[in-house]
Amino acid sequence: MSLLKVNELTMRFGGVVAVDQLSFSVEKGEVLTLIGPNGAGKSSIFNLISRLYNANHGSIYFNDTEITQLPAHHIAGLGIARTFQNTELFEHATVLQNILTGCHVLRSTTALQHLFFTKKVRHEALEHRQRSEEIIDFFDLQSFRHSVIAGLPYGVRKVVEIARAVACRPALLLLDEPTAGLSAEESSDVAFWIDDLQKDAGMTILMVEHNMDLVLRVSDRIIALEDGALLASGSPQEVLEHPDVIAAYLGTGTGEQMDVTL
Amino acid sequence: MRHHFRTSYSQEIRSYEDGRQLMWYLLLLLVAIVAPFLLDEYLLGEATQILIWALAGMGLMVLAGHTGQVSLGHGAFLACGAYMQNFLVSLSIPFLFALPLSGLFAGIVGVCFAVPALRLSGVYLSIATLALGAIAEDIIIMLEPWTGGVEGVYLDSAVFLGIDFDRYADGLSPLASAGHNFYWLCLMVVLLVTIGYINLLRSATGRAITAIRDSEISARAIGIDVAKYKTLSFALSCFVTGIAGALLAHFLGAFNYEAFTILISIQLLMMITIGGIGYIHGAFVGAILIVLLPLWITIIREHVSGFLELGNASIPGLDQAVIAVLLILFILIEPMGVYGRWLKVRGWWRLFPLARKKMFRRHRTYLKTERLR
Ligand SMILES: Nc1ncnc2c1ncn2[C@@H]1O[C@H](COP(=O)(O)OP(=O)(O)O)[C@@H](O)[C@H]1O
Ligand SMILES: [Mg+2]
Repeated sequence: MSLLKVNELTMRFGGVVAVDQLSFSVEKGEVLTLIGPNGAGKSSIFNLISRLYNANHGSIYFNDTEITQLPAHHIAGLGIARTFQNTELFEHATVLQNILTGCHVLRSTTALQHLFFTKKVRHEALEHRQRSEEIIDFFDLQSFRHSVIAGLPYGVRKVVEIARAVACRPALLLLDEPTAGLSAEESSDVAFWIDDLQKDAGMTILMVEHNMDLVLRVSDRIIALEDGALLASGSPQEVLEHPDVIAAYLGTGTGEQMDVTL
Repeated sequence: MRHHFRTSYSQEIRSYEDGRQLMWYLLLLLVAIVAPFLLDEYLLGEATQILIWALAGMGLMVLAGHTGQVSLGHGAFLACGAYMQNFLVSLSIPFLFALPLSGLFAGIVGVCFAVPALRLSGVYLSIATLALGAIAEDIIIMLEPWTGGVEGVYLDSAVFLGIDFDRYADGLSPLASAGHNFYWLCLMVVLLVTIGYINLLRSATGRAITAIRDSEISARAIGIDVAKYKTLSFALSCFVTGIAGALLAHFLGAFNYEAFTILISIQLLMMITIGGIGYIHGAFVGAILIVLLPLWITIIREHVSGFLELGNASIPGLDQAVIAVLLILFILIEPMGVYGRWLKVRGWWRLFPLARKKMFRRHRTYLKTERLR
């Protein structure tokens, strides 16, 4: 059984077809990477899955329940968390507060209980604080714990966003260009974390990424897109050697320039 | 240089930073409790007014400061509370029971307004609330049977279980200035609301509403029901503002629509902006500034006109003008308000002598894109 199943999904912006009759599925436990040139519709797919955009046609299933029509705020509770291509953090809050906010769907107390800060709320607050600390440890954010986001460098912000997404223990993590704008060293940290999230935390990861080194290092499978439609899919080797993919990336070509070592 | 050294998570979720801070707040509370013994009747009246405006300020702060939904018409909810209080008291419901009911009424009106209005965001929501604030006066005049129309209403005196809570009543203690019963009542209400507010902010609900303020898109992706929390914030905000209105009704004793003009709404927003938007403290600092401003202006004028021999002719609108100038200065120089400035000064001292100027420079907010690509 696939964790996520996308059936003939189509989405248009006026005349632009951002996603075109696209079908694919994400298997439990794998790292699946979407590649494709800018404007291929990768981010749109993420926005469709997290229900920030409405599909014109087609359906999305998560764990065999249809989520195509669900309101966006139900998605995280089902176990799908995400990051954004251009980081969408809570700018005026600290790193810790951002991660704690990420725990929102884990709460079992109501606003009324919060008003009185009952014993249960206190207990839960401690639990979430502990969980956040584990995440801070995992992502090596200790020294930024109490820093306000607005003053942080871009590389740290990218990591905080992943940390915030992971906070709610998602089954499926959507990462939109996690290493865009990061240094080589920071990118290799991200590769380690993705590996750990997959192997130790048992998360399934759907990722958009341009950094081919990283893609080859962590992906189990790759899907190549062009103009919203599927170009090729399969193992990293298969996809990168696929003539259509090479053509899409390099205009026309023989594939010899695509010097990838597997 | 001072540093917080924490050894357990419960130190992080409590509502004060450390024992020292708690001590200061308890001292402040103590001073507030004994104030009737220290202040004369006039100043106690000013103190009572500060409490009432701080309460209204906290009401608006939840919505504008913490949820990011700026309301320019909160005077309307103040009016809801005040007139409902008058109505309930006239039905001979004990005024202490009427107080939360009036707040509840304002909260319900707030929700009725919020549900359609929350489809709007940013400046459009502000315009809708501005319209609400502007028509509030006319609605008050139209509802003459309940509001006394243009003439206004006179409240019955506030007696509960034989204790007179009237603003001018002698009260329980012969040593304290008159009106201290009402002052203590206001203090009690403010204390309860402040504690509830602090609790809210340190729990998931508080984080949810500030998340909505900072990035609605992220909030949704994290699983926060934006519409629900905005409505909740509106309800709480109007509830608290309504209670402030009810207390104001007792404070004024007699009032008409003029007490709730659009200027009051705008003044309320200016108050929390100057005080420090986004901080509970900001509501208190703002209330102190706004309530005592006329007093300060009078004092300054006495000195200045003694100097320049201007006489004592009053200048209409001077208070408003001064507030407006203050607001402009604050927005230009210190958008975080008096309290925000205080935090910086305190931060500087705490790090002394390690603080550097650029640590406190205004944070750059990265451009938000409409598109999620
Ligand atoms: N909010 C939007 N409004 C209009 N067009 C959009 C919007 N978002 C994406 N598009 C268009 O949809 C197509 C796919 O965009 P996107 O999903 O961001 O691509 P990618 O993430 O692969 O670079 C592009 O042609 C883009 O111009
Ligand atoms: Mg993109």
